[in-house]
Amino acid sequence: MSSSIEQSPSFEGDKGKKDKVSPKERDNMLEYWSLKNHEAALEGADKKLVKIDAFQESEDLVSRLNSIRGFNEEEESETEMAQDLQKAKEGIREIEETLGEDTVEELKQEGLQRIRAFERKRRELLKIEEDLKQAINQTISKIYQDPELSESSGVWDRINRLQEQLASIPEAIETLSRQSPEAFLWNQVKWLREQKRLFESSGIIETPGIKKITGEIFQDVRKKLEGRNGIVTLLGPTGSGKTVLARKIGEEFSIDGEYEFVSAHSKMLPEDLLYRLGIKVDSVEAEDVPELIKEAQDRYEQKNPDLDNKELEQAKQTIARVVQDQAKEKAFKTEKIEEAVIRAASEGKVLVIDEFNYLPPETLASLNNLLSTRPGEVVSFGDDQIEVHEGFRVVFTGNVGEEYIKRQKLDPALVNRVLSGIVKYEYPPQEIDRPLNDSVLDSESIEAGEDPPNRDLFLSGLVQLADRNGNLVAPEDTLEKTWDLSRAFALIQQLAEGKDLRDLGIENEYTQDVSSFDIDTVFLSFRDFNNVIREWSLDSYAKPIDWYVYKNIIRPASVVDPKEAAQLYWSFKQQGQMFKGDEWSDIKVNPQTWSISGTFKISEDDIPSNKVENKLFGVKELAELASGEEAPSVVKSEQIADRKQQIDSEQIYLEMEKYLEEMEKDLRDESFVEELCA
Amino acid sequence: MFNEPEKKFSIQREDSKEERPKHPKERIEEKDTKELEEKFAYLKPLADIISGTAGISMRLDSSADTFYFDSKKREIVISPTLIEEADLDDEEQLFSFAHELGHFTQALQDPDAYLSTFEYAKEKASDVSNPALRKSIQDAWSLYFNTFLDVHSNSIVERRTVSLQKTKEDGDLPRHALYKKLFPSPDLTKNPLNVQFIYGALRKAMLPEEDIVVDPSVESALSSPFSYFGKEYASLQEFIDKEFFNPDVPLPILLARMQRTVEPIFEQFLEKDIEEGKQNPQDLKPQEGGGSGNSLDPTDDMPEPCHSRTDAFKDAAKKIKEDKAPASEKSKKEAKKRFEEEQKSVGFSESEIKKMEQIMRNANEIYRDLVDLWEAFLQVSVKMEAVEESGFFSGRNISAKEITKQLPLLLAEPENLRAFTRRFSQEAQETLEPKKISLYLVLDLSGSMSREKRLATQEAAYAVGKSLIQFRRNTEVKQGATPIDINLRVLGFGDSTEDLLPPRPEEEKERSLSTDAGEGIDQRFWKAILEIGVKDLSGTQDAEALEIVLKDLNSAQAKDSLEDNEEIAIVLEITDGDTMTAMDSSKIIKELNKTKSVFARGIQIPGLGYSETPVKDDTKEKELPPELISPSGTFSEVWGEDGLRLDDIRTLKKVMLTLLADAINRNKD
Repeated sequence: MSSSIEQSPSFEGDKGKKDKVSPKERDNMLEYWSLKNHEAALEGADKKLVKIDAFQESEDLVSRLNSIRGFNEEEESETEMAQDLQKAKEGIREIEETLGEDTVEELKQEGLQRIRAFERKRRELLKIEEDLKQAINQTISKIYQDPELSESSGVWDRINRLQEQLASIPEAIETLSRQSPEAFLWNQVKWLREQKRLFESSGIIETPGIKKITGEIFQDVRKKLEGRNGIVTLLGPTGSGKTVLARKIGEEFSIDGEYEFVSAHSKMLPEDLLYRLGIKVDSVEAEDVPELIKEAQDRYEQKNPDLDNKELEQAKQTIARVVQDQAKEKAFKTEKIEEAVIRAASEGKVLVIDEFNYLPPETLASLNNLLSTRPGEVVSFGDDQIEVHEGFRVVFTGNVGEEYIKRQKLDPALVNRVLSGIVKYEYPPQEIDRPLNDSVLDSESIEAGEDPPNRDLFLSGLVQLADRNGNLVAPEDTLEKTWDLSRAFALIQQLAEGKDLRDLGIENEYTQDVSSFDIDTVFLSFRDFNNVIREWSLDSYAKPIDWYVYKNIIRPASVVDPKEAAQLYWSFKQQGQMFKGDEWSDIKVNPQTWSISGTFKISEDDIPSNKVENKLFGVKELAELASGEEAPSVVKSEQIADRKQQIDSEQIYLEMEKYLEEMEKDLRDESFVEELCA
Repeated sequence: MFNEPEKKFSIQREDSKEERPKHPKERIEEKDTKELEEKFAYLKPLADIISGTAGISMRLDSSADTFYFDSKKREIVISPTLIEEADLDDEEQLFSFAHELGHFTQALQDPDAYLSTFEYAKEKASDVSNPALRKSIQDAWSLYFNTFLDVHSNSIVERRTVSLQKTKEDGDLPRHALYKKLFPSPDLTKNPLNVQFIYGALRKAMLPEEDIVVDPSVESALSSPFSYFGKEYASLQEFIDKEFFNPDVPLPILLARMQRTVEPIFEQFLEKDIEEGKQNPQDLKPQEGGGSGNSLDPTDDMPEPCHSRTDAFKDAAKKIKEDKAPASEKSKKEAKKRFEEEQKSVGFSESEIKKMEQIMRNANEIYRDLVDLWEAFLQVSVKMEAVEESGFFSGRNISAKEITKQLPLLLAEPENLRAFTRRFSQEAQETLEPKKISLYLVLDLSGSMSREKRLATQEAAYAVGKSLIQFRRNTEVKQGATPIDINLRVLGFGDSTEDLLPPRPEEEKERSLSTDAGEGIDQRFWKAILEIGVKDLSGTQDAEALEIVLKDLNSAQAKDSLEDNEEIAIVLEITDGDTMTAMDSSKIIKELNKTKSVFARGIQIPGLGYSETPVKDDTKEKELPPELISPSGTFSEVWGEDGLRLDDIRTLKKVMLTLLADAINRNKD
């Protein structure tokens, strides 16, 4: 894909006044962009803040307070924001001085030109992505309407190829962005800003990993659902976002976006899904009474035409009295009420059954009939008959493996149907072992096609921490800690899924004493992760992150299920490198028995406040940590290739040399030779 | 660190009229260090730019001697006195400070490669027997690395620090001004050739406009046309300027390049210097009148921090390396420390702890498989029961109790009444079969058991016993499950029999081992394992030990539970010879294997110990075809089909695994 992308203007290719921009100047400019971005954010925030009357008022109140307390106002230190702004301005000035303002301006224009060129292409690609998606979806709908087409495998080959093209667009944008450092930074910052807004408005963060998973699932789901009354069985661990995804599917595949949603539980009976007999009250409204009396009287009169007037009058009075009396009484009667499944089937909507594995087998079995009925056909439930409408589709979500479904004593046909609809959903991918400072790939490795360690959980933390401009001012170790938290979370999620330390490649002889993990009460979801990060940053990082993990996760867990709390604490400590300070020494965990003690001895006052100083994380640093890739080099790509080739051949040579050296050394070792000869 | 030739060698100082610069330690006393701390506070953000890696910051600390990397706080701690150099202006000080950070950047890039330079210098000198000369050679190599790493560090510094790219009024970059001060004279001929070579290259790289004066042989080395990996350079100096003074070159590549380009030349010069006695420390005492002798021990009159700086960098690189390690590696280190402390506190000696760690390490390859295997013995059956509950919108029957309870609702909004009952089936209880696993290890402790065989036996016994204990703990942890009972015995035999893990009275009575915390089972088990390594019971008579097993399994309690499938018993004998009690042993083994749910197996380990064919590393494969050969002599008579003979003791653990797996299959049949 990358080869087909048009080249955006490269540094050396620019026909600017400067013939050649040195790498040094280019690096300075990246720093310059970073500072400018920060300056803009701070100034923008400052301007907005000043506009708030109440803020102005509180500033005045503070100065009055200080004058009463006898503090000299001038001695007061500048606010942090003002200091930051000052620093940014100084940095900008320094770069302008070093390079000369003209050069800065020139380079700035060139940089902007490259960003614009990239942005134009990015938008173009996004538009193509959107249109292509729609075109493919429409084609699939049409294909399903024509049985001849839908049975032809060649058709699906072509659709698959189109879908592959569609899926490659995000990567194409990434590749494009790597053509210049400015485009790279822009692309990353842009992503951060977009995600920040998305998160603020909807609470969703669409990290690349999640986007990829969701995209693939939707492709799969479309094949299973489109054009027929299909079934999708979405299997995945608790807290991974299955339900959100199922709702999205419901929305997308229902005609008007309306779908039926059932939250399953273990005590549901078929009638909860289909019909239930409800008790209804039959009562007469006051204004209807005269009409009812009249109707009854008329009917009586018609039936007894021979009565004389007096008799008739007497009878009418009696009728009126009886009707009146009856109207006073409420009558109960049973009535069949349609439940979600029947509503979805008869109205042609998507039905989502969340956590279907909780349904008793006989309840699940009651759906069999319906699931095997084609649109337009009639299906009976006892005395009731309904016509199944086009558009009726079922989405199951569950936290079980295939084995579970097979084990249920169900009609094999139903099992097959549920199994054939399986789509697996996983937690967002996140590295569990490598540290942050070993998680960014250099340009050579990226060129060689290596993938950086997964970081989706970390990214969702980063999105929350950064401001809307993609800036971050926070203690120096903030991202390190966020990464550690992400690692520990990912580990716990995997353990809760039933994996053990060996499966995850992190066991050793000292973990032989660690008992098996059994986590099924305290699930750590995406939301829990976000809560810790959110509280920490809203608290201005006042305490180390350990405190927020303890407060939000460990302490509550130790009430609900101490054994699980012990497992969580151990994982945070081992893989997240948390709870290492003396202030945590009261908490003791025994991994043999998974017992935990001392969790209630910890109080907020015991936790020393976070002493780490704040720093402005540069755009380049954030962009690199977010992508896991080193910002592209300023050197021309041919030069990179050239250099890489040279370094590669040097590397091979070096390895051969080492090997020979070791061989020689071994051969000098007499005991080795003896053993070899023996 | 900077190599400051004019300052380091007093002999040259004597030639110049200037005073020797004051030792930094002396300067500390002159200036208030706190004041310096404040003065240099502005340098802090520089550390972020130079090191460029998330999460590592810098702190100026006047109480620090020199500088170091604090891995706990992830900080580079720098003494301000290091930055304050008497005769340097602000930019030059900035450069010199950034230069140090440049070395940190190198260490951060690749701590392994960085550390290798120290080892390399040491290794290069290791063949020399004269200690003084050895040190002098090692120092020469250190200087060689320092010099070329300086060139690289400076390129990093200049690329990343804006203000160091600004020319001063006289048109010089801070780098130029600084190096003019460090090397005031272009004449380097007073140094030995090897120093002329590296300093010449450094000075020329830092001050390209100026010429240097060096020995013609050095001059020729630096200026001759040069080709490297098919690329042509006008001179070696041009190669150094382009390929060493280049921040884009990763450290390992830089080192590899050095090795193949400048190193042979440097080595030649160094050898010549040694031959001519210029590198011999004995001759290096400053001579009256400053004759031809030259001090070549760079540490001789070097300012003190330069010594410690070397160590500080080495130390820092080590810490950085640790810091870059995966979390599991860090955890392992901590766990190791904890394990050692714990064992020490319960009375094990250091050598015993070492042994334990060796056993654990070697057993690890099969340990988890064994835990899984024990689990495979169990069959879980779940009993279901039907229950009827009320309180539903709809259902089977109407509950009168609910109607009464919800009477107001019945009258007001009867459609919301939850008065129906429903019937469910739910899990009543989980039962495990068997409820007990007994494991008898019958181990040969005769005199013929060599060290290797004992170690292999220790590893096998540890793995199988410890995994059983761990398996019991796993069943205890599992929510809502009944923990399985285990009965673990370790018997050593020779001329006599020794119970290596003697059960406590209540354990013997219940035939059940307690694995609760505080019962010290881990400690007792370790004692048993360690004894396997040292106890010598001379002869080979296993009947007595087998008799103990049989007696235990013949108790009324055991008989019942074995008969009812509530217990499974594994008897495992490991021996290297032929028993002297063949008749009795054979009888007991037959009786054991006749008993329901009992599996007695023997493994004979060979006399030689090692096989001629290398052991296949098939740890990844689940199928473990052991390299077996036919059992021999008495052993085969005693054990028959239930005995196996190993070709190589290194397969012992895996064979044991196979035996257990076989027992499971038979048990399930």
